[in-house]
Amino acid sequence: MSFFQKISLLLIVALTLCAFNAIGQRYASRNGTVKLSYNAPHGKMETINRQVNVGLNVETGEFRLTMVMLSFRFHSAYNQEKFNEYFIQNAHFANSTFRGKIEDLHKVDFSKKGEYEVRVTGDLTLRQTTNKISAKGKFIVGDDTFSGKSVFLVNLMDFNFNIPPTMEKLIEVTFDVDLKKL
Amino acid sequence: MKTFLKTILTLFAILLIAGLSFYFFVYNKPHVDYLKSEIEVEIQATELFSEYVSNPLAAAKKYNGKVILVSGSVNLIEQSDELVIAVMVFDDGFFGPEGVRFSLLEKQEEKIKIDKPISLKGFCTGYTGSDVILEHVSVFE
Repeated sequence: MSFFQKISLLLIVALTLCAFNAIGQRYASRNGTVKLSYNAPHGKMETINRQVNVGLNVETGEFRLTMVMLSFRFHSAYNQEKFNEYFIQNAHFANSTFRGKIEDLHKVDFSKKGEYEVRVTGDLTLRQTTNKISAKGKFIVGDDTFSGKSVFLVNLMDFNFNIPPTMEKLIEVTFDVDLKKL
Repeated sequence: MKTFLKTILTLFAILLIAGLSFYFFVYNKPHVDYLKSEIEVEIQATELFSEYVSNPLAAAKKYNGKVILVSGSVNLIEQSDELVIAVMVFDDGFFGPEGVRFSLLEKQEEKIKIDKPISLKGFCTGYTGSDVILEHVSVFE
């Protein structure tokens, strides 16, 4: 094998390895947080789930989120009990998912620390009802980690919730996650 | 006029007492103490995980919202900002290692030895599609 052939072979091997490394680079977290805030007749209510699964493929922009509803925690034991009762009795509504894509992933330079504004679009499934949502978010690139943050509104009527007329239909969803390379 | 005023004041007092009673005894009652909760189901971690994987809805109806005692070996302990999670790993998926995840109550991690048999008690919240989640977990001694 000539010197030129050896160099070509090495280059091919190196490029193949790089390609394999790039394909499907996944970042994930099991401890994402989703906070729901809404106005109830007796004041502003908040509940938080700190065990949200989040996965991101930085090559394709594919973004997934799954959570179990019973992991939401309330300050008030009474609200906790009522919420748990509902999702225990309705086991088929136990999970919520989001499957989507970061639309403008090209804006994010994963090799450069900084904050990047992005838009995430996809299907949010809640109570077995799926709706398209699109939300602005912020991507923070750090050392070996990416953080994602977003605040958006969800209309409970879109997910067939039976809400008393005195309760606010819109809930504010605050999403926060620190992703690590798998 | 005096009788009318008296009736209004009595009604107001009753409503006030009812409201305060609701606030203190119902709305503001203490959270469940999962350290003292009674165990409703005892199961091996492998069995629990495989039941959720093979039929998530049937397993959800059986275990979601129950205080269960799970036996197995903890393979890793993760610490995030607010939670300490012990994990019994059984598979690998999109989000990384998959298995049963136990969100521990305070100071419980000190009692756990990695890869040694242990029984953990907690409130089962369900299956995310990759992990079975238990919250308010303590080491059963």
